[in-house]
Amino acid sequence: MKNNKLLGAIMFAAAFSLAGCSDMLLHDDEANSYANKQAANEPAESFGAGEPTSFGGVEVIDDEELSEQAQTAPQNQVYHFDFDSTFLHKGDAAALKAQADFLANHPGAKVLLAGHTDEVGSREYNVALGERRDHSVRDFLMLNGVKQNQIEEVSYGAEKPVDLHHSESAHLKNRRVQLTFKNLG
Amino acid sequence: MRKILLFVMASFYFTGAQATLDLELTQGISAATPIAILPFVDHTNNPDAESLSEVIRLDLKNSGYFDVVSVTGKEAKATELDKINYQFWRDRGVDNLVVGTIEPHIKTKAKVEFSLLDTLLNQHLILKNQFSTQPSAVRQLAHHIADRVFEQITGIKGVFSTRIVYVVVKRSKNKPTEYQLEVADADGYNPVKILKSHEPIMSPAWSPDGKQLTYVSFEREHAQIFKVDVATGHRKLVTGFPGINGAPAWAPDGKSLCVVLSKGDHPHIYHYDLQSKKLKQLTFGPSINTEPSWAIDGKSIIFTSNRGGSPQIYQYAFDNKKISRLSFDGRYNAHASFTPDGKNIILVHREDGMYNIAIQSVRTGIMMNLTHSGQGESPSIAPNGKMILYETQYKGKGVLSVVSTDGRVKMRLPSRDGSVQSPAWSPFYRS
Repeated sequence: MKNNKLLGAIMFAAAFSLAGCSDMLLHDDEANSYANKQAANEPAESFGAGEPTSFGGVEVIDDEELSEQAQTAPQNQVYHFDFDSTFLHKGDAAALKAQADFLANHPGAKVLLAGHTDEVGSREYNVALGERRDHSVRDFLMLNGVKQNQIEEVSYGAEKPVDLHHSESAHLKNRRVQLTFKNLG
Repeated sequence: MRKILLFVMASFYFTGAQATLDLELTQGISAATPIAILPFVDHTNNPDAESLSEVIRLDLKNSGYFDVVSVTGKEAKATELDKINYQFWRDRGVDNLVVGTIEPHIKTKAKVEFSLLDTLLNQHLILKNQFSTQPSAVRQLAHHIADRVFEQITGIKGVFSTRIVYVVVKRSKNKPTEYQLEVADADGYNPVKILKSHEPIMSPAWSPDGKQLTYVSFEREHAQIFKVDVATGHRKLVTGFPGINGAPAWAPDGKSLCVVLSKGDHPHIYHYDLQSKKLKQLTFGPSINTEPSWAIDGKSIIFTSNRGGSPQIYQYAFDNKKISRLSFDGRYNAHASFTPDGKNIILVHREDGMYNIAIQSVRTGIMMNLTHSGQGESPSIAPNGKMILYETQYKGKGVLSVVSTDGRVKMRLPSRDGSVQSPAWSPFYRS
């Protein structure tokens, strides 16, 4: 699996079948979304994330996958989630830690966390679920020294999918928190 | 459950009236009452006159309760009340007839008279009414006549004169996504734009008098609840706290709302007094609490919460502040609301990964799936309690569908342009 050259921003939990992958890559043409732009711009470079330094208090999915997200900051990264889950993937830790360090060292810097869900389920319940995903990222950032006033959150629930297909691979892409730096401090 | 006994597919187009939604009756009932609606005798030469009987015909047909019989020839033409050949209709098994006349009235108005006739009784006439109308209001009058006929024969109040609100999402490759809030007649005609935005619009809800709507808009890149006067379009911000501002629900007396606010923490249900603007938090704790919906008597609300580990329906009583669980069937139940008689709740129920619209008896707790396609959401009940409008997927996009609360009648309102979602059925309008 580690040799599987997935595009940068997209990371799956091992529990999910990757049968839908080719479908997903073929349909990367909905280029308006940030996630896809990032996927297209970043080469499929593989990074070893090493052991995450701090996860105190934040629940994570302990998957075997290592994130291929860049560990440089600031980066408008997208973090993905499992079905009905608000747990961060352990593999995303190093990349998110890099963002946290940048924010902690730049108290004037601000980020917007936009939480999203896949299309299934009730719309307003999905808004709540998307916000919980925001909170997971927020809590991780704050545990790593980021101040509350540097973080803004919004949850769109299922209303702003990046992949409009109804496949499981589209659902995987849509369950996400999108981190956008608004002010670099 | 009885199998599908009648299967009708039809698309309807009117001259002069542009529809963005066309009704397709996909499943009706076997015991439908045979009825014929004759063209009205027109003494006004109004080109819209013909649409009058046509709209009544389609309303009754699409209700699923009627077998609208069409015949050709002399008997199918407009006929004065005293010249009807009842034997002809009896021979064809038609129990009921609707006939009418349109006459010039003061100034530009028209006088419309309709009669509902029983072909079997000695005393044929069972309902007769006269109306004075502007020619432009012919469609509305036709819906009203259909309501009267429907109620006379079925004993159930018709909903043909009610309206629906929904969100249309238009996504295109090279342009930003467009979200529109629209109000239309219950049959999808006369769509009127209420709000247009490049950010999501969610959860429209009617005030109990049908004159105002609340909805959630992300136009400022965070959620806000607005209230809008449907007739004038004049709108006001209701809440715009940090975090979730969602799922507004009107109290039956129209004086307050229940809303969902997270204020940076957990989403909770708040009571919001529209007059004093006072907020009162109703739910507490580290769980998700959302989708409030009022009981008919206004003494309690039901809502979705994952306090027990998975989303289920709970009830909050205003007098003793007690919360009790209502749904136990399965691991995902959400978006519940009471039927107008208070005896059932309708909701979204997940089973084997399928999300269907279901109905649950409040007394027995027994739940029954009404849809089976697996993609049902946002159910909204008609004010007569007989039909549920909901959102589903058809040919890859969101469409509105209707299912009867006994599961026997199904109808689809396909969109021509964009995905349609988050529908809400209006209350009855006082005429």
